[in-house]
Amino acid sequence: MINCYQCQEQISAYIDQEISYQQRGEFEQHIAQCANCRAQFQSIQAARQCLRELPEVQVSDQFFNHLQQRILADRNARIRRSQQTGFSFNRIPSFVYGFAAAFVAVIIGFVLIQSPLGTQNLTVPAPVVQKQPVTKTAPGYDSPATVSQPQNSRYASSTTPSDPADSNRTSPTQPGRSHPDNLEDLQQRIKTVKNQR
Amino acid sequence: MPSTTQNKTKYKLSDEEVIRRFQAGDEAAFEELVHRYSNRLMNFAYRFVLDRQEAEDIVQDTFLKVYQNRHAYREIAKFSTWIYTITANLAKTILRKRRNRKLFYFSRLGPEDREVDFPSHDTSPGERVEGQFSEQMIQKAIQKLPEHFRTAIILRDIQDLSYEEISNIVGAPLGTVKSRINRARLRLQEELKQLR
Repeated sequence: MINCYQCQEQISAYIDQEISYQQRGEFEQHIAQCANCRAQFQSIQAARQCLRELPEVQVSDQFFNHLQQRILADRNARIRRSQQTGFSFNRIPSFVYGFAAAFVAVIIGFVLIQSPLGTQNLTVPAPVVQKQPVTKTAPGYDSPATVSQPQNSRYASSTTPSDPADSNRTSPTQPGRSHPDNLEDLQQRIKTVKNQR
Repeated sequence: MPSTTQNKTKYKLSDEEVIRRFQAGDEAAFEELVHRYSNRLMNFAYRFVLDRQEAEDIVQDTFLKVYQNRHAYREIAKFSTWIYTITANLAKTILRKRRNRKLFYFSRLGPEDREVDFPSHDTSPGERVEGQFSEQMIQKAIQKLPEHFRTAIILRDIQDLSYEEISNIVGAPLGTVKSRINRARLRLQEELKQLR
């Protein structure tokens, strides 16, 4: 047996036949016994019937002409746009602007990474001062003995020459710089500097 | 003619077949769709916004959108669902603009002006007695319903659409639609009692 609240919740489902057989039985039983719910059910049925009997509002006589004119105007506007020659920002689809912005951002990022500012903090350390015989130097380069140390190199470490054989080497001008172990290492570093230039 | 009888008219070609022909380039198919749906959509739009001119603009805009975006329709849903969804969205936009306009003008009035009654948008020819309630009473009662109740009850009881179709049009689950229709009917009959 359902209560009044449940009955009211099922009124529409009953009217629209969206109710199960068992629920229908319970609903009808409650309606037969409850005067309030019966009155409400009849009132809703009457209102619904009034809605269904409302006269249909129809379009005006000029509706089809107006619609035709609007469609023709729209079609002509599209033809004019497609025939437009020359560059126009209006003809560029909006997603192209997004792609262009992303492309420009990638280029700027690439340029920044490749620039001297960007490469300073990368893996290759700057060459260390060392007095070594150098057979060939590129024009514009100082001899290794006079290569100055960058001030804020990440790879600086404090070293002092412990080996007497290292006495020929120039001591580092900056505290904490390590000596290259051999000529090959120095040459590799010089090549790196050249590449950077 | 009562609105519900027109909806049951049987056509030789289904709406989906007609729209398919229109998508293939047959302009006569578009005219057929306009003929089938113009009055139905006009009835729905009018009952929603209660202004004849605005309702006709809504229906024109709907058909213009159908014309421009015919290829956007896919036969996943019924054509009627698609076209009613367009109309419902346009009608809601009109109501929102109307509300914002009223707020704008109302806020500019001084306190002495705020007694003014807003003009009724009802342009129906006059009262017609429908059983115990006149058309004007029913219109007023519908207008007092919240938007989502109004949509549900117009689509169900005036346009005679199924619960499933209404669910697809308003984008709400079936249970929610059933609940809205029930509550809309309860509220409507209360409003009509007060207006009598």
